[in-house]
Amino acid sequence: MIKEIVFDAVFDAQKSFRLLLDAFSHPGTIHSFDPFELNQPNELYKSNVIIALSLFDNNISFHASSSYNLNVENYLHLNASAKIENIETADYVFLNGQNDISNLIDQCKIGDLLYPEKNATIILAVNTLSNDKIEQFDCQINLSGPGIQTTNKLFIKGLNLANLETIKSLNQEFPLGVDLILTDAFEQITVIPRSIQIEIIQNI
Amino acid sequence: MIEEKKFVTQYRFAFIDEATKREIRRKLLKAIAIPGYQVPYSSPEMPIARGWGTGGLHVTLAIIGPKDIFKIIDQGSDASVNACNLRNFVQTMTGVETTLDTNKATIIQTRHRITEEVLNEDQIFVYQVPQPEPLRSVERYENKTRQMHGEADYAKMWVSLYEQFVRHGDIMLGAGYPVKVNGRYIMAPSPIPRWDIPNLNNSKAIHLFGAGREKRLYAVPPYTKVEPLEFEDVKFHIEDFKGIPCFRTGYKKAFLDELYYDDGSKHYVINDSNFLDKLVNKELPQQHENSYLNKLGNEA
Repeated sequence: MIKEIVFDAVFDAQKSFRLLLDAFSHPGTIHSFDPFELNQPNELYKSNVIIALSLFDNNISFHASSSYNLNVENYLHLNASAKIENIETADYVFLNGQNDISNLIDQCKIGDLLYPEKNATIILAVNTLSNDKIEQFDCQINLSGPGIQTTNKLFIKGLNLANLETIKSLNQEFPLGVDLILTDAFEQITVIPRSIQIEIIQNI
Repeated sequence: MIEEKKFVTQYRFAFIDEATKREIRRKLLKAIAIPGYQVPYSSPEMPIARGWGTGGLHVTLAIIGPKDIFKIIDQGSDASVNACNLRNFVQTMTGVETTLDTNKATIIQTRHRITEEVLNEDQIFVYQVPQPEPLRSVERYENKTRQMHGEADYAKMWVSLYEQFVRHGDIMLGAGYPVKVNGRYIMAPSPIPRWDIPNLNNSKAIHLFGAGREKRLYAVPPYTKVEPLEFEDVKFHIEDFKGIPCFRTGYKKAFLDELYYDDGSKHYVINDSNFLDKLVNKELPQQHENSYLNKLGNEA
């Protein structure tokens, strides 16, 4: 287990946050963080680590052990110093979207009407994200809502559709719901906040 | 001993400590995800008193990086006291480039105006908000307004607008006219004049609101529907300057200030100082477009 030193807690965190702010404000558009020489466990994408390094501190909690090994959780805990909690109470949840994990997503907190911001942000790893059509994609989703001028198309490879359906059902009653950050193997990210309408078009 | 300790603490870019910046950043992302909802935050001590722009300052300092270009206006002017002092503070704490040019800035902090010049997709607009709760005038308890927002129960607000119309023949809200964001939350757009309200609708820029004294953050993402509250038969309208031109440029389609000269004479001048300067220098700045502005007669 290595303590990361290349990620600057002041300037790199600021730059990464601005990228996240941009991604949250323009849902469905694809963004990439600066490349960092991180020594994260192989199963974890670098972009997942950068999200943790730029946003986490000991005031919030996260959960990763449902989809990842325990050393992933320990690595994030060591480097981002957030608390490790169960999936029902965690503020940030790292999951792998390739398999059907809808029972796990269902357990994430969605806030309440008085405090809708007390929800979980799900960081879901998939294989490939693209705004243009790609080969062998699992689904095309059309996004509309705040931050999108008309509609944004998103093609995703390596995402089990049941997961997306579960997220849709969690987000039914705006302002309750979960915010979704999708990350892929090419270190790209895209964000789907709960305010966004998701239309799923399956690849036939 | 305390003095010695003070100097071994590490250098803090942008004044606020990193833990607090992270907290504000996380809450800003939540605010973007729930447009118009007021997210409570810590509102740390600043070297100015709460209620004098600390909320805007918190947001600016939490998002600013060394490569940003910073502009700040107070009532449309780059040169008024609040703007000058906060500009100096941000510049000293971050070393960023500052500008008066609306078009060049990446972060624009404002008190009580949206710039007359149109905003672009790369810009972030930061508001200093004195009273973030639009329902405070009709309900004094926070737990009740929170419940009203949760249930989207805005009947009291509508009744208050109706009563104003019945008593005075118009909705008597000049600045801070309540708006509905994304068809869900009613939001106080900080005390910007009615003139600026339509410019929030479908804006290309990100709008972030910080209320330091009341400890609330909220946001309007780009391309979001922002509608002023209006009735089927009583419509929202912007300020009417009755076709009076700006006395320096002759321009008729901008928000005006009233000036009284020593001889008692009254002059009207464009409120947005950068827009005025550009018109005087014949630079033809591009203005916001909305259905209310488009109805007005154009140039001199």
